Amino acid sequence: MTTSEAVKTPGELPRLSTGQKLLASVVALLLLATLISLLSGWRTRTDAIYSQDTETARSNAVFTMREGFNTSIAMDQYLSGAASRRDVQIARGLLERRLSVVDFNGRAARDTVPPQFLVTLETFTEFLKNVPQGTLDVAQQQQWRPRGLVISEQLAKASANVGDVDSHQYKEEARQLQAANLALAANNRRDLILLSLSLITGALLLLWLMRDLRRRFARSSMKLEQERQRVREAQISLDRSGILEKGQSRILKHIAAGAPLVELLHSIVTLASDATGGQPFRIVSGSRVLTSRGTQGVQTSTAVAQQWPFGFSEDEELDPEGFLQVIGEGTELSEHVRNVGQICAELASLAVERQRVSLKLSHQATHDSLTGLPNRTLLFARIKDALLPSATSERSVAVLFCDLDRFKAVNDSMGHPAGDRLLAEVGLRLMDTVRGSDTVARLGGDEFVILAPSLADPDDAITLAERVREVISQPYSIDGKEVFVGASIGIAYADHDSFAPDVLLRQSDVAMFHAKEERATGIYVYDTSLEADVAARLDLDAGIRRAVERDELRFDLQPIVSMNDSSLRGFEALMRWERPGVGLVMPGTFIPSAEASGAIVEMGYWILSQAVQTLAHWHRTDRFTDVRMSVNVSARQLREANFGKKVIEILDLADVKPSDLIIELTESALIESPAAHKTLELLRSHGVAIALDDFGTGYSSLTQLRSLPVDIIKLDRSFVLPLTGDAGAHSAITSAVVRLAQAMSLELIVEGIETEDERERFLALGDMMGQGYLFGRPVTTDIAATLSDSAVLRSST
Amino acid sequence: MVTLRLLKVTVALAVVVGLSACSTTGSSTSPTSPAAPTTSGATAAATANPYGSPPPVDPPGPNDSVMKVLGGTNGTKDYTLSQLEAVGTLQTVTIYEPFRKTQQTFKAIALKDLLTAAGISDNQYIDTLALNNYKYDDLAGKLTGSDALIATQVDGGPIPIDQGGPIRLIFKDGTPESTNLDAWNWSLMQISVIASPTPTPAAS
Repeated sequence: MTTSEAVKTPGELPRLSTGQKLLASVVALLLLATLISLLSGWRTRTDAIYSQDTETARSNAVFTMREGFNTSIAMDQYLSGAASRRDVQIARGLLERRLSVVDFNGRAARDTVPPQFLVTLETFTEFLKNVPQGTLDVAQQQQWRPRGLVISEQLAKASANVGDVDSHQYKEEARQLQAANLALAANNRRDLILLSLSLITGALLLLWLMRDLRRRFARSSMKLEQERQRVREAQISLDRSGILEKGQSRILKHIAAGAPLVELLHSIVTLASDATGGQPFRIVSGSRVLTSRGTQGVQTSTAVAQQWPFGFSEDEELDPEGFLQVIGEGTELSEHVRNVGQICAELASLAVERQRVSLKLSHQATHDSLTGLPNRTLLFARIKDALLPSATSERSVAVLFCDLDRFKAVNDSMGHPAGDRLLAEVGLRLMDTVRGSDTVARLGGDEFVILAPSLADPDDAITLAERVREVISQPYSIDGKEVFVGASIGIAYADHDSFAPDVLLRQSDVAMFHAKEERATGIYVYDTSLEADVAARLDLDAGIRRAVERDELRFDLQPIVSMNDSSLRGFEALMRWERPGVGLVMPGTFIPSAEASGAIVEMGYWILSQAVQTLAHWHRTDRFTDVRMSVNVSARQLREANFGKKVIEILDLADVKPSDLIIELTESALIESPAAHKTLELLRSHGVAIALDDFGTGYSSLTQLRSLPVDIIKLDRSFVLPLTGDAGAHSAITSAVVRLAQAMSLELIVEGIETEDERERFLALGDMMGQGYLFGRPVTTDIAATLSDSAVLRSST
Repeated sequence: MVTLRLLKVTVALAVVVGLSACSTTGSSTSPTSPAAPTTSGATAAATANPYGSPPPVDPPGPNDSVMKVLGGTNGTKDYTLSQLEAVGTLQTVTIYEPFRKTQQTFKAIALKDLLTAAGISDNQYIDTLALNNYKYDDLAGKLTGSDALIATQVDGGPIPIDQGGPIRLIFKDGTPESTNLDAWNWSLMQISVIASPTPTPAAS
C-alpha cells in the first residue's frame, strides 16, 4: 500500500483498452470513408446538377449553331451592302471563339461539330479574306454576291446540321446523366450506410467507454474508501500509540515508585489491551494468570497467538519470570500488536527487575551481609512485633545478647578473613540452636542477639543461653587450625510494663557486660540494679579517656626481693588513678575499661616513661643502681607499631640501661599476639627482660613456655594459696614449674607472698625472687626511694 | 508497439476505403474543371486551332458606332471608337488578366466617365451587353467602385476577338470586382440602365 498510488488513481485519465482502440479506429475509418464518399458524391452531384442546369454540351452546339447563322447573316448583309466586312469578321471571330469553348465532357465545340461544318467554314473564311474591306457598292455587290450567297447558304446549312448531328449525342449525354444520377443514388445509399455504421459503432464505443468509466469510477471510489479506511486505521493506530506512550510513562513512574508487582503487571496487561484496541492479553507468571479487561470470555482459552517472555535474570540463568501472551487462535497479529507486546513485555521485565532489586535492597537493609542474619533494624522490628502479643499472652519475651570471648584475639592473630569465617560459623551454629520462632541477629563485630519471643517459662531463656554457650565454645576449624572462642550472654526480659525494643536491647547488653565479669557461668540476667553499674562504667570510660591529659595518673612501686635474703632486686610499677572527687582508683577497676577504649596505650607509655625516668633519677643520685624496674604492658600496646623502638627510645632518652627494664606481659597477650614476638626479640636483643606475668591463671602451658620469648616467670598467687590445702598435688605442680624454670634458666618471681611460711616453702624449692606484702606493699616513689634492703623486710614485718 | 501496429492497420484501411470510393465515382465524373462559366470560358485552347486563327478584324470606320449607352438622363448615346476613347481620359493600365493569367497593358477609359457622360448615377442598375448577347447586371456604383475600365487597346493594338475584343470591361488589380470573372464582360457593345438586376448572371 502506498498513499501516493492510491491518491493518484482517481485522477488518472481513463485509458482505452485494445478493443476500444480497435473500435475507435473502426469508427475513425468509417467516418473517413463517409467523408471521402460524401466528397466524391458531392463532385458527382455538382456535375449532375451542372449538367441538368446548363447542358453545356448542347448549349455549346446551340451557340455554335447560332454563331454560324449569325456569321451567315452578317455575310448576307455584307453582300447586300448593309454591313461592313468588319461586321462579318466580328461574327466570324465570335463563331471561332465559340468553337474553342470546351463542354463539361471535356470536348471543344470544334471537336463535336460535323467535319463538313469545318470544311464549309474554311471555304467561308477564305472567301471573307478576299472580299473588299468596308461596305460593298452596287458594282461590287454584283461581283461578289453570286458566289458569296452560295458560301453563306452553305454555312447556314452546315450550322443547321450541327444541331442534327448532336441529337444522338444528347441521348448519350442523357444516358450518362441517368447513370450519374443512379451513381448518385448509390452514393447516397452508401453514404447513409457508412454514416449509420459510423453512428452505431460510435454509439457502441461510447457505451463501452461509459461502462468502462463507470467501472473505473467504482474502482476508484472503492480505492478511495480503502484509503480512507487506512487513514482511519492510521488515526486509530496513532491514538493507540498515544495510549501506549501515556500508559508506558505512567507504569514506569509506578515501577520507579516501587508499586507492588501484581498491581504493575495488571496495569501492563491492561495497557497492552487498551493500546491494541481491545486485543485480549494475559500475563502468566508461575501459577498466577492476569488477564486484560473484557477477556473473561477467552480467559479459559489456552490458544496463544504469540507470547513474549519477560523478567530474565541477567546474573543467574533462570527461567523467565513469566510470559505476556496474546490470546487467540490463528490470529494474524499486526505489527502494531507485536510492537505493543514487545514493549509491554519489556515493561514487565522492568517491573520484575525493580522488584528483585528492591527485595535485594530491603534484604541488604535488614540483613547482615556477612552472616546473612537479620541486622539491628530487622531485629528492632521483630522485637517490636514480639512485644505486641506479649502484653496479652502469658508467654515471656527474652532477648539474649551474646558477645564472643577471645574473638579479638582470633581476629588479630589470624586476620580479618578468618575472623569473618568464624563469625559466619557462629551465626550458623546459633541458627541451628534456636527455635524456629526465635530470631538470631548480628549487631556487628562479635555481638549476636537472640530474640526468643514466646517462652513458656522465663527460665527457658537461661537454658537457651547455656546451650548457646556450649555450642559456641565447641572448637572451630579455621584455615586448618583449631580455634576456640567463648560467649558471654546477657539476658533481658520484657516485662508487663512493656519496653521499647532499644531499651530491651540495652538491658541485655548491660547484662552481657556483667556476664563477661561472671567468668564462671558467663550468663547474666538483667536486673534494675545493673543500670547504676552501667552508668558508673560509662562515667569511668569518659573519665579515663581524659586521665592522661589531665595528669590524674599516678604510680606506686612494689618491691621485688630475693627470697633468700630479702635483698631488694627491683620494683614493679603499678598504675593508680587519682580521680578527682573519687579518690584513688585501683587498676582492676579502670584497666579493663581503658583496654576496651584503647586509652591503655597512652597510659602504658606514660607509666613506662615515668618508671624509666624514676630509675634514671635514682641512678643519677646513686640509689638502687642494681635494681630493675618492671612495667606492665598490655596486649594492645604490644601490638602497637614501633612499640619496641619506642621503648628503646625512652630508655635512651633517660640514659637507662635496657637491662634495667623488665616488661611484664600476661600469658594470653604473649600467646594471642605471635606477631609481637619479633618486637620482643628486638627488646631482648637490647637487653630488656621479658617477664611472663600471672603464670598459672591462663593456659599455663608448660610446653609452650619453651617457645615463648621470655626471661622471667612470675608465678601467680594461685600457686601460693592452695599449698595450704591439698598440699601434695599442688606442691608437685609448683615444684615441677620451678624445676622447669630452673632447667630453662628462667628467673622466677613468686607473687603474693604474704607470710613467712609461704616464703619458707618456696625457698625449699630453691633460691628465687618474691613479691608480696611480706616484702612490702606498693608505695609511692618517694617512699620507695627511702627503702633499703633491710628496710623492705622490716617494713613488711 | 500495439499503437504503431494499429496506426498501420488504420492507414491501410483508409487507403483501401479511399481507393474503392474513388473507383466507384470515377466513371461518372468529368475530368474537366466545372468552375468556369460557359460563356466566358477558357481561352487558352483558342491558340491551338488547326484551321488557322480567326481572320483579322478591320478597324471600324470613322462613323461606325462601337458603343451604345442607353437609359441615362442624357438619352441614348452612340460612340465611334475615337469618340469613346475621348470620353474622360484614355489611360494606360497594366493589370493582371485573369483568363490568360498574365500581366497585360491596356488603354482604357473609366466606366465612371462614360456613365457620367450618359447621365447614369452610381445607384442605378446597369446591364452590360456583349456582341454575343452575354449580359452582366449590377449596381453601377459597385462596378465603378472597383475602378471598372472600358479597354479599347491591348499591347499597343486593337484587342483581338479571341482575347475579348474589340472592346472589353476590365478591373484594376486588388479591387473587389477584379476577382468576379463574370463581371469581366468581353466584346462589350452596349450599356443600358435597367430597373433591377436579373436574378442570375448567366448566359442566355
